Amino acid sequence: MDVKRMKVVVVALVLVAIALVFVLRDREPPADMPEGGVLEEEMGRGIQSVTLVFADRAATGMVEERRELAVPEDRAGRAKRILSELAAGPTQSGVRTLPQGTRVLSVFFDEQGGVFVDLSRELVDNHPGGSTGELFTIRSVVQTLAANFPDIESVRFLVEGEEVETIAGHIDASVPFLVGHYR
Amino acid sequence: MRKPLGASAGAWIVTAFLLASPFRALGGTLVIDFPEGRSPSRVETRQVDGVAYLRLADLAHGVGGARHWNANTGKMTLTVGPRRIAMSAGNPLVTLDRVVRNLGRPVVLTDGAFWVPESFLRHALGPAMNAEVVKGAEDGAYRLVKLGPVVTSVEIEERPDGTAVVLWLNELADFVAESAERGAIEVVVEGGRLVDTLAVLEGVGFVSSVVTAGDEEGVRADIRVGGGATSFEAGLFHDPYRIEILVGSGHDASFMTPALKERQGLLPAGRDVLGAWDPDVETIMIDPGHGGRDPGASGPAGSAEKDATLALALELSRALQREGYYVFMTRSSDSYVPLKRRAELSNLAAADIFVSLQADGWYSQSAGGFRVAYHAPTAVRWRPHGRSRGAGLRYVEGAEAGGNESGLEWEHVQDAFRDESRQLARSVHDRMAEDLAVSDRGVAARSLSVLSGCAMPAIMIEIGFISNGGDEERLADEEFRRDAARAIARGIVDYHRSLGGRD
Repeated sequence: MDVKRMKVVVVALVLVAIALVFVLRDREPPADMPEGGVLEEEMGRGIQSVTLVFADRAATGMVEERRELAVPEDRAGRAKRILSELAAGPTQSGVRTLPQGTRVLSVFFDEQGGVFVDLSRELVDNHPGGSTGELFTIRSVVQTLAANFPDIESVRFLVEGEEVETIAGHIDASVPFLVGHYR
Repeated sequence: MRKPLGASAGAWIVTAFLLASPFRALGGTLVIDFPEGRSPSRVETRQVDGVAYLRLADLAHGVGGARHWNANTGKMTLTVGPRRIAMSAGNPLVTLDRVVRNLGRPVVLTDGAFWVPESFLRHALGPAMNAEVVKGAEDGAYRLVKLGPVVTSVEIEERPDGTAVVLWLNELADFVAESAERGAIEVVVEGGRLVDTLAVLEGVGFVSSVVTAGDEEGVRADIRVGGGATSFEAGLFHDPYRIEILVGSGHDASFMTPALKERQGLLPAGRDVLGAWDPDVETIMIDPGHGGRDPGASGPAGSAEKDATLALALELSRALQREGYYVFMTRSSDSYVPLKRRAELSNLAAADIFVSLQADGWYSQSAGGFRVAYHAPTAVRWRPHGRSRGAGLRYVEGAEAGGNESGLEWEHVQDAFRDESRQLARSVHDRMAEDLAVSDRGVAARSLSVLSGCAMPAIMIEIGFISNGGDEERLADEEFRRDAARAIARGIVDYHRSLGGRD
C-alpha cells in the first residue's frame, strides 16, 4: 500500500518536473531577440524558413533565395514581413525586383484566395520602367507569396491604399494577377 | 456646344464643415455643422480596438448622402452627389467609384448598423466630396474643407478630327467656352484653381498657342487658332474628368478631313488627297509609348523612352506610307495621352492595325534586346461576345464594369482579335529578327493595358532596353531607327500577305 502510494507520488513528481522543463523552455526568448528585452511586437514570432523570388541579371528568369526569418504568427503579418524582405533586395546572385525605397504598407487576405498588397509610392516613382521591368516586379511578388502561401489564387496591387491602372504604363494592374499566369 | 456627359456640371456644390468636438476615449458624438441653414446633426462614435469608429448612417445624414444596402452581396453603398462609396463588413477595403481604397481598419457591422473607422473621412468621404480633411491641432476636431475644381494640367493634342486642347480636372466643373473675336477662343472654369499659376503652350496643328492663367475668379484659358480652322466644339468628359475643346476645319461627320490629312503629311505620296477615302487601303495606328509628363524608362546616357519612341514612330510612319498604308499616330508631339484614350483613338480612326512602340527598362545594364508582345488578358471574368471591328468604340465610364457604348467590357474588346494579334506579332518579330543585329527576346503574350481596348489586331514592340548602354546608343542612331522601321513595316506587309490581302 505504501509502496504503491510512493510510486504514484514519484510519477506525479516526475510529470510535474517534465512539465516545468517545457514551460520554462517555452518562456526562454528566441536566440535572435534584440538586447534589452522582448519587444511587444516581437512576441509570438517564430523562426521560419521563407522563400524569396528575385530576377536573374539579364531579366530572363527567376532566382529563388531562402532565408531564416522571425515572422509573426498571423498570415497578414507574416506576408508583410516576407515581402518587406523581398523589397530589401537579394543577398545572393539575384537582381532586385521592387524599386529602391519601396515599403510594404500592408497585406490583406480575402476569403476567396485573393491577396491585396499595399505598397508605397516608390513602387511607381522609382520604377525603372519597361514592360519587362514591370512584369518581373509582378512575377516576383506573386511567386514569393505563392511559394510561402500555397493556397492563394490571385494578387492585387495597391499603391498607398489606392488602385492603379498600371505600375509603369504597360501591364494592366486594375485586375488581380492570377497566380497561374505569373508562374 | 456639345452637351456635357452625365451629371450637370457644377450643380452639385456642397460646402461641408465638420466642426467637431474631440473624440472622447470611449465613444460619444461628433457635431456636423452645415453652413447652408441645416440644423447641426450628430455623429455617434465608438471605440473599437483603440480606434474611433463613426456611425455611417449619421455621416450619410450629415452630408446629405443616400445609403443602399444589398442583402444578396452584403454590400453597403453610400452615394454622395455623383460619387459612390461601396463597402462590406469586415473588409478594410472600400471602393470610391470602382477605385479601391484601404482604410487600414475593417468596416464593422454591429447592432444592425455600419461603423467606419475615422480614416474613412480622409480616404473615402473627403475625396468623394472633393474636400480636404483637416484635423485641428488643438481640439482634435475634424473639418471637411471643400476644395473646388482644380485644373491639373493643360495639353494640346492632334486628333484625327482636328486639334484638341484638353484641360484636365480633378472633378466636374462648370465652364464657359466662347469665341468673341476671330481666331480666339476663351474658356473660363469658374471657381477653378490651376496647379501652376500660369501655363503657356506652343501651338500644334490648328492651335497656335494656349495661355492659361488662374486668378480669384477661376481659371482662364486663352486659345489662339489659325491654319484654316473654322469651328470648335467644347465638352465635359468623365474618366478622367476633362474639358476638351476640339478645333477643326468644319467638315462634320468624317473623323478625318482630306485637308487635315494632307497637312499632317500622313497620306501616302501621290494619292489624290481630295478624292474619296479608299476603304481598301489599310490604316495603321502607330502609338509612340509614354509622352508629356510620363517620360517612361530612361537610359544610362540620359535619354528618355518617350523621345526614343516618338523618333522611331515618325520613321515607321514614313516606312509604312512608302508601303502604301494610311498612317495615324496617337501622338505626334511630346504630349501625355492616357492609355485608354490611345486605344479609343485607334477605334475612332477605324484602324486595321495598332502598333505600340516602347523601349524596355531594367535595374542594370545586363538586360538587352527586342521583344514583340500581344495582349492576353489575365482577368478572372470572361464572357464571350461578338467582334466589333473598327466600330469606333469609345471608352465610357461605367457604373459597374468598365464599359463602353456597345456594352462590351472595355478590358475584353481585344480578346476577339487575339489570334490575329499573335500572327501579326510573329510576322513582325520574324522580320526584325532577320533584318536587325539585335538580340532577340522572342514573342510574348502579356496583359497589356494599352492594347486591351483595341478593336483590331494590336501589338506592342519593345525595340530594345533603353536601360542598356548599347541599346540606348542604337536607338539614338538614325540609321538603326530607319532599319528598324523598315523591318517592322515589312513584317506588317508579310502579315497582310499571309491573309491574302496583298500581292
